[in-house]
Amino acid sequence: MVNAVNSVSITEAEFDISREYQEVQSKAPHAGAIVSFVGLVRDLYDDKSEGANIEYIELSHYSGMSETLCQDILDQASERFDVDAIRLVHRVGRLAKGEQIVSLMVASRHRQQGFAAAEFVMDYLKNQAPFWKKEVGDRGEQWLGLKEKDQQAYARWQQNDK
Amino acid sequence: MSVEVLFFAHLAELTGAEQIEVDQFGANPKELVENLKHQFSDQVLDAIRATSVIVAVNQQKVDWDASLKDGDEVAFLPPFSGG
Repeated sequence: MVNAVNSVSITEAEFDISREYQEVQSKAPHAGAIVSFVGLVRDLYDDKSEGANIEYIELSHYSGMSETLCQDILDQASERFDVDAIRLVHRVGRLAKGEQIVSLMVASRHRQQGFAAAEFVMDYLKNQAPFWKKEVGDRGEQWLGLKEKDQQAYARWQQNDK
Repeated sequence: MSVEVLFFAHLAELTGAEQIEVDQFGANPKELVENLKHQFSDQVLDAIRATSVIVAVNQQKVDWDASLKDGDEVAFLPPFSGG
């Protein structure tokens, strides 16, 4: 894809969705669609049982490598899909339940390519980028690993390559 | 002659260090972990060399038998959980 303008920011700071939206739109003057995704800190554990809550998560990353790999994932998405610009923000540090973790904005001519590219980026990010979450709450502290459904989502793209 | 060794997530908690300098680092990451046996318990070493752990040298994912040289940054990366 020509003229794809992608950017990554990894930060402790809160992000503002409308600014992210404007940022990606400014890089994609011919866009006809902007697909956005925001990931949040959940309050319930994955088994959704009542009476046990997550209070906050600690997000750490491998500074340097995480930026490089995220940028690489966005650039792979630009090669694979017809998109104009992609903007990714990933927060690190201590984040309370309900807080924003990730912002992804994909600008494209048509929505289908934007939706597909957004899914691709999130599936690759989960599987390839060196970030780690620790859940802290009623069940104590626990480092999370890669979930099976995320591995399957990633494997699906690899399958499509063949 | 030394390498910088980085631990992340639960590995940093188990080793009690995010970063250590290792003089006798051996030929590759596999030997490097072996050489840490005076510093850490078998339980900690097993966690570092678990099959789910990825090794990176100078921020590039590599095999466990990739060769190491003076000044390398060697990172042990547990399964990722970002996003």
